[in-house]
Amino acid sequence: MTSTDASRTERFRTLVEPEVGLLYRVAHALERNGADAEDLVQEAMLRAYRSLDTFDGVNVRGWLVTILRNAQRNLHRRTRPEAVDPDVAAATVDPVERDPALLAERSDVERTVLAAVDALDPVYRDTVSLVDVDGLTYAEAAEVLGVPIGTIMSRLHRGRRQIRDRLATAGLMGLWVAT
Amino acid sequence: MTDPRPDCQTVARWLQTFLDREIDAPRANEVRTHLDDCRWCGLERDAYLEIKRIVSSGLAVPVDEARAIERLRAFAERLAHDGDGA
Ligand SMILES: [Zn+2]
Repeated sequence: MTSTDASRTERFRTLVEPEVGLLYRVAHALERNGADAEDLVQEAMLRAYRSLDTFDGVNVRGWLVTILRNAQRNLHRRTRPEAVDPDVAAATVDPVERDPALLAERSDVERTVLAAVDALDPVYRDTVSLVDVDGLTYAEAAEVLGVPIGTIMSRLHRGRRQIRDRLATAGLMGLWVAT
Repeated sequence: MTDPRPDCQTVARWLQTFLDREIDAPRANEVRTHLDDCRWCGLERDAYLEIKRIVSSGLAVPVDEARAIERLRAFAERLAHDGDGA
């Protein structure tokens, strides 16, 4: 291994690997399908690896997401129309499974929230996750998904509202407050 | 003179941006004041805080997503270690 290879390995590990979760969630929101999202992230990581030498190290997430979006355009140029509006189109929902043993350890509130998250349209779920799990601001989420900030806000509002309604329906509102 | 304080409906509309700290400071203060006084909106806030806590803990990441991310990390590690074969 040459020293260039070694430093590239190191840079890839420090810069790209920590963002795999974010990349997957962005890809999933764009592709609306787990297998396609995984292919897309692999392709993006290959491209990132090849262009590491020219990357200035500033704004890793922006750089990676740009690569991902370019890769997506190339992959789908011939095979499908560019933009399916996820807020209009019906979702192709991946089946969600959870480990019953792990679920048994959770509280009623947690189980209900998890079930509600699983039932969300994947686009809502991914948007909520990008903000709450990956810690993106609205502006960042809008940029990575290529939608207006208002769309992010309405997806968050609707997604969280559906979760909240499940808690209400299950009679669990207020039950997390220790009394 | 009209009352400038936001009502419950307005607070409900601002609540997500308030909890995500995406709201400007004057509005945030109005929401905070309302939440201190209004039991109903306080309950809504608590519900959304709890949802946010559970989602941000990573607990809500579905199994298939967690597995996909695991496979992609392994892919990244192979790439970092072995190169792209180019
Ligand atoms: Zn109120």
